[in-house]
Amino acid sequence: MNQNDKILHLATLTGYYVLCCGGETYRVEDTICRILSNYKMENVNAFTSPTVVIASCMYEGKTYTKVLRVNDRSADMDMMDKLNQLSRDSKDIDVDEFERRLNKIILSENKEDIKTVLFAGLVAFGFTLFFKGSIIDSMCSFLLGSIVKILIIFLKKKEINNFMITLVASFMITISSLFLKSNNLIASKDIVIIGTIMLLVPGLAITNAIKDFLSNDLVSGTTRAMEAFIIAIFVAVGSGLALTFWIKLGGLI
Amino acid sequence: MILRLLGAFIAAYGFGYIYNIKGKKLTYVSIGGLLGAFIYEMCIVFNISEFASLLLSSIGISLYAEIMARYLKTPVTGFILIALIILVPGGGMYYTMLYALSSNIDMSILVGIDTLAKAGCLALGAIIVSSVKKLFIKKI
Repeated sequence: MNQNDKILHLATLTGYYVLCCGGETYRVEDTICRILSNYKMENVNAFTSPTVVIASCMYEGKTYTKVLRVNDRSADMDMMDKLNQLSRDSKDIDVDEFERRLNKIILSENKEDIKTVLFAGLVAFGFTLFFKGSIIDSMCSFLLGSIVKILIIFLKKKEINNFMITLVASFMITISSLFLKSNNLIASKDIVIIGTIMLLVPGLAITNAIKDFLSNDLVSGTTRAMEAFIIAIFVAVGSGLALTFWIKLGGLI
Repeated sequence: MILRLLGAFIAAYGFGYIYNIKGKKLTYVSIGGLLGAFIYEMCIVFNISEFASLLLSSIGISLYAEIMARYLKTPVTGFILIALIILVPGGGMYYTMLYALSSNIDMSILVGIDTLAKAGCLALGAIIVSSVKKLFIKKI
């Protein structure tokens, strides 16, 4: 591969992974531009929206351009931290060293295992306490949260649409806490539902939408705000469906 | 109240782990969540309106996040993300839906707008801090 092509490829790939692990738009664009300028490219430009990374640069009168499509977005702060550091270090290391370090970061992927499930339970536990639930309610939330996280991981492996996963998870949470309530295991179904549903809140989309608007990335800002809004709607529809079913089947709320 | 703060800390810690924040950063991030909940609780104790308390705690969180991100040399995203999630009005969302289901549309609209305003307050706090910051600090 031509050296200049390789530099552009590595820079856009770094930007791609920053976007994948939850970076804001301006951070992705900054990362790409910083790396390209550090390797002596001229007229550096980058455009990013939540679904695409485009970068172009010039070297000795020839223009190079690269487009990468982004499908998968999740949150991985550790990886973003490392990529950020790598892009800052790029002024001191040569291209081969950069490639080696980039590959190392990409390959050390975050595994979703039993610990993630337990910590998801912990989130539900904490939120139920925060919303003034009793200790027993919180314990039930812990169980519910863990079970729902297992469900989410399973559905993600089957490559189900993210919105649909949210809907199913929210349905599960509501129907199980209604069931627990009807057996008098928990004091308040509302608090358990709210506490556990916080697991599904689109926190990343909301914060990124705010920050994108602030840095004048209107396209990304609007898209992410819409994403957050639709996820919120799906959460509401999921638990609404569960409640409707419960009432139609003769249960009490 | 101690129990509520403990809950906020635990929830922030769990979220931090799920978003793959590692090592001592995880502790600092969870303290950010605790700080947000603490300011909010304090404001409520001193009888400040709920919107103003959310605004104040959002400002507090963002300040803490900016300072800590510079101190630990790490992107600010994680700090703001975790701390804001704690204060997101999830309850309001749920009750809006619940009222709409029980065909109590008036209450549903009331709670819905209340929830939107609360979310707006949170956003406003983050906006204020990151705009004021630009007056004083060079962008990193």
